[in-house]
Parts: sequence; C-alpha cells; structure tokens
Amino acid sequence: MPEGPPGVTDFQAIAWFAILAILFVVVALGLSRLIQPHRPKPEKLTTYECGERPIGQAWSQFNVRYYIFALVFVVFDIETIFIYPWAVRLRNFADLGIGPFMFVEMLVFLGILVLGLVYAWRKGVLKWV
Amino acid sequence: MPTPILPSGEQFLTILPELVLLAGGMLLLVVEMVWPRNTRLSAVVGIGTLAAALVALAAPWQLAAEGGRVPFLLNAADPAHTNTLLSLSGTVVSDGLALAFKAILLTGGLIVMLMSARYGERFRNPAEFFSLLVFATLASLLLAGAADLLMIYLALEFLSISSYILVGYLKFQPRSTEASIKYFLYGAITAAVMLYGMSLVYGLTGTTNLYPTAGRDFGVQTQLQTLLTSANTRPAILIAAGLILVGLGFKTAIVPFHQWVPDVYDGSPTPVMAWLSVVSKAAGFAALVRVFISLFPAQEWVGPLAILAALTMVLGNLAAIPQTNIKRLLAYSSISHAGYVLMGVVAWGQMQAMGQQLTPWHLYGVPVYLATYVFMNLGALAVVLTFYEENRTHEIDDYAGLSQRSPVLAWLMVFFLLSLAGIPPTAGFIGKFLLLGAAIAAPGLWWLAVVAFVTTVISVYYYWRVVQVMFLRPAQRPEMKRREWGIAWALGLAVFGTAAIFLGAGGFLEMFRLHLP
Repeated sequence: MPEGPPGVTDFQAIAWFAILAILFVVVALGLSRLIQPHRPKPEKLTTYECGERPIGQAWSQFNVRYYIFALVFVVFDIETIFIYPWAVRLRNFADLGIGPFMFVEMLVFLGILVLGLVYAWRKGVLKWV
Repeated sequence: MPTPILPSGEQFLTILPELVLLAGGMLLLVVEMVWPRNTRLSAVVGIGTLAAALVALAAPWQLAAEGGRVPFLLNAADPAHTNTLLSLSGTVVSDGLALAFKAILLTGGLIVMLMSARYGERFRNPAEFFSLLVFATLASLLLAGAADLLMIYLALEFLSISSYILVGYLKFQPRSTEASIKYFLYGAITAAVMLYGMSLVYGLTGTTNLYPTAGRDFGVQTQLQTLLTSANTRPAILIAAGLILVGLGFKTAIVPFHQWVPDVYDGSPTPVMAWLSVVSKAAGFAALVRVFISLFPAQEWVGPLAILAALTMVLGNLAAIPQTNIKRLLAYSSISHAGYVLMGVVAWGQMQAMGQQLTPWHLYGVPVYLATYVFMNLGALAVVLTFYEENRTHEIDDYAGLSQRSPVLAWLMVFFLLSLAGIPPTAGFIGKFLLLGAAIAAPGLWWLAVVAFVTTVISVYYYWRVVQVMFLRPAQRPEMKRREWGIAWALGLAVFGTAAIFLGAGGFLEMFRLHLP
C-alpha cells in the first residue's frame, strides 16, 4: 500500500481511465486519418441527417420554446438518476428497518418535482403556440 | 454490514427555519396557480413565511444551547461539541455563528420582502417573484449553516441560480437582462474555480467534512496543518485556498472579484439589489468565515487577505466618489463595506495565527457589523425605491430639494447615510467601532485600521454629497404623495434596527456575550 493521505490512491485508477479515454480517441481518429483513402464527392460531403436531404444551413434560428421543453425534460432526466438507485436499494432499506422513512423521503422529493411540473403546466409552458 | 445512520426527528429541527422557507416558497407557487396575479395575497404569504422562519429559528437555538449558552464557533481541532452542534451526517452546523448569521439573513429577507410588497404589481407572476426571493433566502441559510465543502458548493449554486433569475426578472428591460447574463457568466466561472479548489482539498484529505464526524477523531484542519509542513503538499493546499476564495470572494464582492457589482446592482430590480447587497453578501461572509477560520490554517492566509481587504476599502470608496446614479453609488459603497467586514475576518485570523486569546471584538465584529449593515443599507435602499416609484429616476441630481418635497424621506435618508458612514448616533458607528478595535487589537494590523479609518473619512464625502443635493438645492418637482404599507414597514424596521443597535449597543453585545461564550 503506497504512502499518502487516504483517498488519493483511489484516484490513480481514475487518472489512468482519463488518460486511456483520451488516447483511445486520439489513436482511433489519428490512425484512420493516416490510412484512409481521401476521395471526396458531393454526396459524401453532405451533412448526414438520417437519410433525409438536408435543407438550408445548420446555423439557422430555431424556436426559443425548445429551451423551456429541454429544461423541463432535464429535471425529470435527473429525477430518474435519483430514483433508480433508490428503487434498487429499497428492499435493503426495509431489511434495516428504515424502509418507511426512505419511502416517504422519495415521495417528498417527487412531490416537489411534481409541483414544479404542475406550475409549469398551469403557466402554459407546455403549450406549443 | 454497516447500519446507515438515520437522521432522527430532532435533527430535522436544526433546519426548521429552512423547512419553513421551503414550504412557504412552494405555497407561493400554489397561490400563483390558484389566485393568479394577486400581489397583495402573495406578498402577505411571503412576509408570513419569513416571519415564521424567524420564529422557527428558536428551535435550533434551543437544541444547540447548553445551559443557556450556544458555543460560538465549533472548533475543528476540539471535538467537544460536535455531537450537539453537527447534524444530518455532519453537513449542517448550528453553532452560535451559524445561528447569528441565520437571524441576520432572515431579518434582511423579511425587510426586502416588505419592500417589494407593492413592487410585485409590475410582474405577470408576482407570487413567482416572491417565491424566488424565499428560495434564495433559503439557499443563503443553507450556506450559513453548511459544515461540508459539498454542502457549501450546493448552497452557493442554489443561491446563485435563484439570484440570476431575480436579477433578470424585469425581462423586458435590456439592462436587467444584461445584468443577469453578466452575473451568470461571472458566477458560473467562479463557482467552477471554487469547486476545483474543493476537489484539491478532498484529494489531499479524503473528506469534504469540515469537522470531525463519527469514526474520525481529528478535524480536516489538523490534517491540513500536517500537510502544510511537507513541501510536496504545501503548494496544493495554498492553491486550493486561493481557488475557494475566488468563489466566496465573488459572493461577498471583495476586490479582485467585484467587477460585476455596479452593473448587476444597477440593472436589477431595486428590491433584488437590496437583497444581493445584504443577504447574499452576508451569506457569502458566513461561508468565508467558516472555511477560512475553521479549515485553512490562519497564518497562511492572513497576509494576502489583509491586502485584499485594504484594496477593497480603497477601491470601493474611491470609485463611489464620481458616481451620479444613487444605485451605482450604493453598489460601490457596498463593495467598500465588504472590505470593512473582511478586515474583521483578517483580524480574527491574525489572533488565531498568533495563538492569542480571542476577544469579543474579534468574534462579534463580523456578525455585528453585518447586522447593522442589514438595517442601514436596506433602509437607504427603501428610500431609493420609494423615490423611484414616484419619480422614475435614480440620478442623484434628481434628489434635489427632497427635504421640501418629502421631509420624512429626506431625514430618513440622512439617518441611513450617517449610519453607512459610521457616524455616532447610529448602528453603523458600533459596527465600525468593533471592527476597527479588532484590527487595532490584533498584532501587526494597525496599518489596516489606518486604511479603514482614512477610507471611512472619504466615504463621508460622497454620502454627504447626496445629503447636500437633498437639502441645499431647490426642489424641481411637486411634493411627494405616495404612501405604501410595505415600504413603510420596511423603513420602520430599518430605523428601529439602526437606532436600537446604537442605543442598546451594550445590551446587544451583552446578549452575544451571554449566549455565545
């Protein structure tokens, strides 16, 4: 066991992981760049839009409304991150005798989120005009 | 298998004021859904929430008191009181300092809420504005009671995000939106920098708790002391302290991190400016004191912070002189007041670094000064708001002849400006007296006291210029008629606080001394 404050050594794995992740991208893209044939054609150079023919520029103005929808979506996206581990562990919590407490705690959390959603809904945020 | 520690019901009582604010903020959203655009009702709910939270502060006080006294500051090196003062897995501390700050923050929040009672009429969703004010105050309370670096970060972000929205709440005014964007850019970057500093502390010590918790018999500060002696880890700790200072310096508006203040204060709605200059700043100082006094060894940071305090006082006061807009003048004056408070923190740290016995000057200077600042600055801003509501201007020149147009407002303004300048019949004098005394009593800091004294004299000049315009120039417009219950109450509370702290200074300090040994 190497000397050092507790916790620091655990981060070596993360450092290696970060280095490997960067190397993977650089090596994979760099290698393909080195060995790939380079024969551009108009069809090849068009933007890939799942098979659709692209219309206009990508730098166009889009409706600001998307931003509100995205914001409401993100809230519930984060919510799942909290609910999954909670759901997996709930039986263990019950075995430890704190099941009701943990259950109510999640209900409080969900209640706050639902109130936010209902508020957004009542204020007409979810209506596409 | 380790048994998870379940927070007992009693532990939730330590955050009772926060829970009251959370419930009140959510209730305001319901009010907006059921009775839309009812400014009066939502203002009453908002004011009631803050008043209830202030009453609820008695619960953590009762819990923390030992024989009628609350230990003033939880000592990281001495785990004597950790069992009674730390709660919720060591993330919340309710020592005397945290509770005193919470009382200051709630009082400030209450006065701001009173000020904005009628102001909400101009918004499409007034209750939403009030609920954001409640949530922002909730965040400031969490910051004042945070005993864990992650908790400090989360509370600071919660505070910032609520403030960004509040600053830009006049969304059809370009200046308000611009202020919001500037505040956001500055805040996002400083928060990221601060988080990096916290990650360094975590990497070095393996914990984010500021105080020893179950299973750890020594505090992080002791650990950092040892790490500072090694040449390998020393730079990392100093860098971490500097990076964390960036985030807290942004909130408290001390000098190298102050550039956002004039534009953001000027652009934001006046009640929001009042809230930022008092509540947000006091919360920042609560976290600054907590982190620097309890975490980083004082001998390392006293020097640099003393220089920053001097720079803040000098720059804030000098830049206020040429201002022609009252909001910008008060913005720069708010920077200079951050400098005075920082001087108190530095004097406190100096005593700690020298291993000397702390005196009441050092312990109470910072909270007492911020308590006086709440009343005098909010009072001045309540006058500014009343004036604006009738005259639609913030230019100092337009205050001409206010002594004839509305003698009450003019004299109130004089009273609050005297207090801001620290002149005797007001609370501001007590605050400055304590802070200057603290700096003089700390060895080797007399020069900082000299800077504070000289800059205070400079501040008299620009505060007095406003008085001169109000009293010596002829009135250009008719008498002011507007009366409003919310602002009247806010002004009343502010006058009461500013006068009471001066008149009852002995009793006020005795209260600190008796309850917070």
